[in-house]
Amino acid sequence: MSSFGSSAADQPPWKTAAGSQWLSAFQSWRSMRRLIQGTLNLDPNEHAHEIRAAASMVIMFCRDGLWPPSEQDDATPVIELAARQLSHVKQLYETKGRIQPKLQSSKSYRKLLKSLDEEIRILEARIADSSPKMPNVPPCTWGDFWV
Amino acid sequence: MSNDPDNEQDMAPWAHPKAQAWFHALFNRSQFGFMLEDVVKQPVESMSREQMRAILTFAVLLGRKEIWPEEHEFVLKLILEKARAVAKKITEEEGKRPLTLRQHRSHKLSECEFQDEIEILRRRLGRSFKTTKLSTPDTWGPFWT
Repeated sequence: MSSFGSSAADQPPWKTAAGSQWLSAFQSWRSMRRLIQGTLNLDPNEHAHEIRAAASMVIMFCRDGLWPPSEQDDATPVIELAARQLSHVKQLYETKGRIQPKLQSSKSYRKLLKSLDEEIRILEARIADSSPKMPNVPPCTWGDFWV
Repeated sequence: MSNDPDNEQDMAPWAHPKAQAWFHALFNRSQFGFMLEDVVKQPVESMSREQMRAILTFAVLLGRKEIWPEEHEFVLKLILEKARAVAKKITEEEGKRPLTLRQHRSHKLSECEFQDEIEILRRRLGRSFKTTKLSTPDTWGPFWT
């Protein structure tokens, strides 16, 4: 099977015809998306780490043509859910910081809150009516992401 | 919420043991590693560059040790080997066909993008000696917005 479609050159992998077709047929990706959505519905008080992990998947994968692969479904509800649950997680850390004031001076604590803010902002920007200006960099705790 | 941000530590979403256990369970319940293994074991002749790039997307985004379960690491290696084989096959095919200048340009762009995506995975697996800075592949757009 050769790839002689000339339009694929400027498309991300998930938007090319063959890439999109493969994604639609890939059963595991469908199961994975369902499990991610299920995790996002858990109680943030009990599952903060799992919810943040699931929200990171939404940040990485929730884009046109990748999640969902077909145009028949709408990704907006899952992005909204991820942003809302991540906000709850952030509130939990803020509450923890109020209970243990010494945390406020911790560099890691401040970095975590900053990263949660950035993660929430990325999600909110994806569903905003007008595209807000965003720095095209990963959240600060995600490191040198492509390496 | 047992993560103690008072300690200087990795705060990435995949760093905490509970998050790593979740990723592990996600892979197992969705049979992700096994299913990808089946896909990349297809003969190289039956795979297109576009299909391979879609598979590479998962490897590039999830292929780090905290996320990708260790027992499926060999699948990442299989993906890399298959991607290189597909790239080689397509280069050979294209070398034999007559192309318009426009088609030639388009294929060169696709080839470069494919090689960039392969390079990210090569570095993750410690199989590249290049030291240039890696960034988002061009066609992936403003990835973080």
